[in-house]
Amino acid sequence: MKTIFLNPKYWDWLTLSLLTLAILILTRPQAPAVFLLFLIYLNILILRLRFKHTTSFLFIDALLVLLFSLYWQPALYLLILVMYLMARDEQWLFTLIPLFIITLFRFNDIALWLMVLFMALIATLITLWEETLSDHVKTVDGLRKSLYHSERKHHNIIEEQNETTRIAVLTERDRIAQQLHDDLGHELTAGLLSLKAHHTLLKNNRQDENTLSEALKRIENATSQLKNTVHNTKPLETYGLSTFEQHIHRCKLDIEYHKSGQITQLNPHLWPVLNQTLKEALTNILKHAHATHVRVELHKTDHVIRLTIENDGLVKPVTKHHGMGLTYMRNRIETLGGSLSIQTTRQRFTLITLIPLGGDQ
Amino acid sequence: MIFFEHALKRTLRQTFLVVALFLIPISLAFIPQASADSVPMSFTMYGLFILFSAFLLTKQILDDRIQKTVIRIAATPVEHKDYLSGHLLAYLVILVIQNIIFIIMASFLWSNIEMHIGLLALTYMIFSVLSITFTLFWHMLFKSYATSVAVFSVAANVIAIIGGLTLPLSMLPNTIRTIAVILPTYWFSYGIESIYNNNYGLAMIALSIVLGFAIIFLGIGSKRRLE
Repeated sequence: MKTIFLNPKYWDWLTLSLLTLAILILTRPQAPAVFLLFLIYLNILILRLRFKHTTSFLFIDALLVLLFSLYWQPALYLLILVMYLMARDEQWLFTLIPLFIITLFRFNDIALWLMVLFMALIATLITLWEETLSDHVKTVDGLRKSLYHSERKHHNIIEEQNETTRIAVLTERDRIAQQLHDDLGHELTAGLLSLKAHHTLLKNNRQDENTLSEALKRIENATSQLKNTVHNTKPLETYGLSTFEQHIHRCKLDIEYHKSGQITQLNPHLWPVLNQTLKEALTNILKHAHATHVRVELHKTDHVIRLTIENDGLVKPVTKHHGMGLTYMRNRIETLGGSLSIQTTRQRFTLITLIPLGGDQ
Repeated sequence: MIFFEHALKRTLRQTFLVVALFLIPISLAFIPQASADSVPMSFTMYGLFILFSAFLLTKQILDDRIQKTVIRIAATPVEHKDYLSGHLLAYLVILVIQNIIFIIMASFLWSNIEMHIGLLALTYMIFSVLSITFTLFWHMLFKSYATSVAVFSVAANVIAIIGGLTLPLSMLPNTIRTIAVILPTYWFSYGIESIYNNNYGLAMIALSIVLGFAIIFLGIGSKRRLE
């Protein structure tokens, strides 16, 4: 019912029904032949309303009414309906012709002129309303379209980020492989060849101290180069799990920490979000909660990573409007398709972060 | 044709309704004349029965809308006009059979009255078309059958009294007759009276008016509602 009243088309039906009823009351077409002609015109009117029409067709209607009026003059009242349709088609200029006919034949009919005024007013109002409505519909459509595009863009950025991470890992692996081959490979091969030579000499009951010491030297070189390579490959700044654990150890609170699942295999792009969430949560606990005990749990399954931060401090009731920190935290998590939820009981305040791994592990 | 068969089978499956639709006209034919020189009341009161029969038949279309069957049909390559024409034609066939039963019974009981049987059959046929389109339009206005039937039972009776179905037109005061011209039932009774008075020209005009009303109701009622 609500949609009916919000649609200008139904108001057209309503206005035309009211106008028809008023015409029926004023003209009283009692004679069967007159009523039949009246009804034929109403049929044409409904056809015009139900199906798309060209405004110029309405001149045919006006002509029919004019012919009808030769037989029964009050039929000129029906021109009001023709004028209404012309006005609703926004062809106000066309309405001058029926108006001229009315002026010519029924200039003194006050009731008719009042109805013309009423018709013009309603037609103007409904047309203006329809225009505003159409503008709003266009705006909503535009917003929906831009929302769709930004969602697509967001999805593409996440995909590109994942791809960049993957390429970075592959490049790093390639670099390490090359370094191992260039530095370590040659020394180990030389050591192996020396050992093989020594083994051949031993088979022939000959002993050569030089080949053995050469092999030892080569293997010692390889060991020291391995140490150098590992030292050079290891990043200077910590990231990932170590940073996460550093935040826990550095915090002045009494923190009980648990981890489970294959956390080291977690996609690197998730770590900044987890670290930020942990930092924000611990800062909040320090600033507001006055907690004596905090429990941090990091749990990874095949499909999801869950970070639970629980404290026994001051528990405020959760309101709809969170602070900026919590809002940014939530935004960051939602960017990755995850969720942030808060559970409060009398003794506990629990923050649960859930991020889906989406098969990119 | 699929919808036509489906609607026909669906209606005929309701045994009680079919028996009532085909037996009540027989008993209606017995209703006597209001006065010695007037049309037997059975001829006009049967019109009210056609109206109620059409209401019960077109209920299926309302059911389809309420049960969202129309939405499922809209998802298929079938056009709405096929669905509607198939159903309406099936209902018309049932009403025409009902009319034939009534006319046979009435011509047997009222053999002393001289009335053009063919024209009478045409009147009932056109009124059946009107009843179907009117009830289709009526059902379009409602979202539940309970409300539709509750309002209709009152409205139909008022329409029947003012329109001269349950009372002869000659007994209606002039004021009411002035208002009644906007009702199709008035022109139906007018047509029956004209046939009774052997005024076939007027009868044809009255029938055209009834048909005109039917087209108006079809024009509005055929609009597809998918909500």
